[in-house]
Amino acid sequence: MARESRRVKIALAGIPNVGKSLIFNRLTGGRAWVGNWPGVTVEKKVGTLRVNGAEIEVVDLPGIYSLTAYSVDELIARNFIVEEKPDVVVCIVSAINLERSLYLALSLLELGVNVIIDLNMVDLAEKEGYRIDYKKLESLIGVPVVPTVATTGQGISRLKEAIVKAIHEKKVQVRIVDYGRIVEEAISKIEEVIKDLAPKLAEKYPARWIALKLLEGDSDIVGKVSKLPAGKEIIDKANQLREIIGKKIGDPESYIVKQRYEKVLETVKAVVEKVAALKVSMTDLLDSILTHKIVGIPFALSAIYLLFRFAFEVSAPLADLVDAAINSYLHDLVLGIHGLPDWLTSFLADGIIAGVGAVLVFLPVIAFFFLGFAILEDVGYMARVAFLVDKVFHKFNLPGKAVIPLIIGFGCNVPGVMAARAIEDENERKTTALIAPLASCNARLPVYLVIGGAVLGASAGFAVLSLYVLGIILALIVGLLLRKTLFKGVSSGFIMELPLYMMPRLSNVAIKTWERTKRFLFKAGTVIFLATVMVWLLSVTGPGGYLGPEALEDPQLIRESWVGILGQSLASTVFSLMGWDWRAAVALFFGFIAKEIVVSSMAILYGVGEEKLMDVIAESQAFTPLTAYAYMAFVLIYVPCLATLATVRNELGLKYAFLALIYEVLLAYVVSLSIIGIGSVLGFK
Amino acid sequence: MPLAYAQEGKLVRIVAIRAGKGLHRRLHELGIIEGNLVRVIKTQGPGPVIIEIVNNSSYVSKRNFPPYRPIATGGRLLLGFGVAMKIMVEEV
Repeated sequence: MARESRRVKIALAGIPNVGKSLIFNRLTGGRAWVGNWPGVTVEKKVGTLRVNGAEIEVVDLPGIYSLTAYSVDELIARNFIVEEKPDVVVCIVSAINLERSLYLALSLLELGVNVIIDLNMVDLAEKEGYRIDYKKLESLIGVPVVPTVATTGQGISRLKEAIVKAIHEKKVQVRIVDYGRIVEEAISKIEEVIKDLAPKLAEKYPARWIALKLLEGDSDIVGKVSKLPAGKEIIDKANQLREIIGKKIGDPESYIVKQRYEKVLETVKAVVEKVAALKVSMTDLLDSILTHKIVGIPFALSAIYLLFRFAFEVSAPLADLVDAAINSYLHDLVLGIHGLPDWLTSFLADGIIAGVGAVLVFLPVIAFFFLGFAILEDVGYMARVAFLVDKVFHKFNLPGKAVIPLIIGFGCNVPGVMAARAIEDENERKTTALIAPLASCNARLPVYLVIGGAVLGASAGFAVLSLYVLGIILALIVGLLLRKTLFKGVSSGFIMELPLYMMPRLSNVAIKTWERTKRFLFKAGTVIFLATVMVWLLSVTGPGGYLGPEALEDPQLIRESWVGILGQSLASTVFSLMGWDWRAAVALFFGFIAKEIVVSSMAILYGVGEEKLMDVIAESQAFTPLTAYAYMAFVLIYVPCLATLATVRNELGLKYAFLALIYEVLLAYVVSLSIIGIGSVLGFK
Repeated sequence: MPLAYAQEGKLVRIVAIRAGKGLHRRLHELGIIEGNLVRVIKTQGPGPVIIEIVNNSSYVSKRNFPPYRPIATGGRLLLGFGVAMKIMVEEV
């Protein structure tokens, strides 16, 4: 039999915020591999469920509300179900968000899917004062219902049993919703036509479902049917019926959705039992302060400030340890190996270890930043921040949600750009991905600290803070410009599920922290590794040939390397108006690879260790306070790092990566020059 | 009156949705349907709103205080300023 030749496959579906990833981890033990959906670069998670000696493939579908053709995620889910025919789809239903969850469950049933329902978060429903009669729900919709609490693992073994059982007993409920006589008659007529004229299509999809979709005017299905030989006839028939019933019921699509929702409400009403009188909930209490019109925003700013402090203070000892391990111990270890040729020792110690080490030193602070962020997110606070900023962001034609990629970008721009995926509207998503690199990431901070500390003295702290603010202001302005030109369109509508406040769940927090931190690690391992090799090569060679590793120790010799020549020509041409030292100009060039490298290349160029760099810069008087601040602003704005550009390319395409590169460099140039121009007029030096 | 202008704590009825096809359908699927009741939990009026959908069925009990809270089995939704301007409501 064909059936046995393939692995048993199940899929998890659910609306956002129902605990789907936790259920996925409970079923698969958390070991997932990531692939792309066919045809689109949206990641898909796949894992293995082992039960009674059998291996079942578990695919995590994107979080969706429905199965329309309007959203990419919904089309992905729908096509997966139709093309791959999973044996079972586990629909995760939130007990505290029953209506919207059940709407999705009904949509799945209508598609002829073998569904079982995981009624999750039943503990929270009881806290809210009601209970759900799951046996009754089971009998009303005719498929198995298993109550669970994913956070504690309660009910998971029963869910596994139900999955195994459902694999063998397929239950289909395509007629779950009754649309009333008028529509039902139209459905039957179209069904007949489909069965007659397009029997192949009717094998793939339930004929009733196609009929419904044609009445709803679903663009994807209309397109698929039109391509059939008998397509025109079917479509004509459907359109004719649409018009006839439209006269009686209004817009058929609207009517059908409403009927489906009525069925949901009827079901909810039948299965919900009130168990307790309601108290004022914790969520209401917290929200009265945290989303307050006046104190909400100051509170959010403090929360983000605390997030930074937490990341830096807690990670400091670890960062020192990593620094010592790589830059002292490992570095000296390589220098101590006898018998290697000079160039190889230098390549290993000054190129690879110094370069990658400079990046890895940031690992602890980035990991702790994302840990703090994941806690805020899991508690439910980040959705509130989106609410608080929406009014301001709206003026810039951006949804409040766009604040989240920007905040993640404070940690590292790579996951920041990727976080823009959560924005549904294509134009808004692209705009957000393009402005996310303007958030001042952790890697830029050392540059501010070294140069600001050396030149600006007491006002250094204020200068650094002003750069973070400048980054966000520029992001909003560039965002508005993009929305007025390239990605036109009014704000399409930002809708988000607002979770109740909850205690952070360890596994959730751990997964989110790791998923973001690993992007940074990956970047250190690939792009930056290759780039440091290039830097080293260009530093030890010049037009006169191989200079030898001595160039890295000798500031005079390095002037003759490719790097030195480049820096001097940059300083005397494009940057001549800024008055920056050639070494600073070279460091900027290397900063293309990663901002972390700006400080380490300056250290090399000044011929000192990073710890003494600040003193040397202060003594050398290479910067005045004004040129220093302009330099820091330049570092903030121009390309964050190659890895971020590579991410923009992956997310949006090469064209947009170039766009990001060009606009950022130009903007950096204009802003720095303005700082110097306006600063000198105001009498700053 | 657009939902963006509704007052905090008020119960309002949705009278019309002035949106394009896709958004219109999405709102319907989320339970934001003409005729349904919605409680405005938070607003930055005029601005984005946080709402709770109160179904016409019998969950509303006036004895619950303060101020009075229906059993909401529908969860809460955050609607951005743009969306909140497209949903027309009236106070009940």
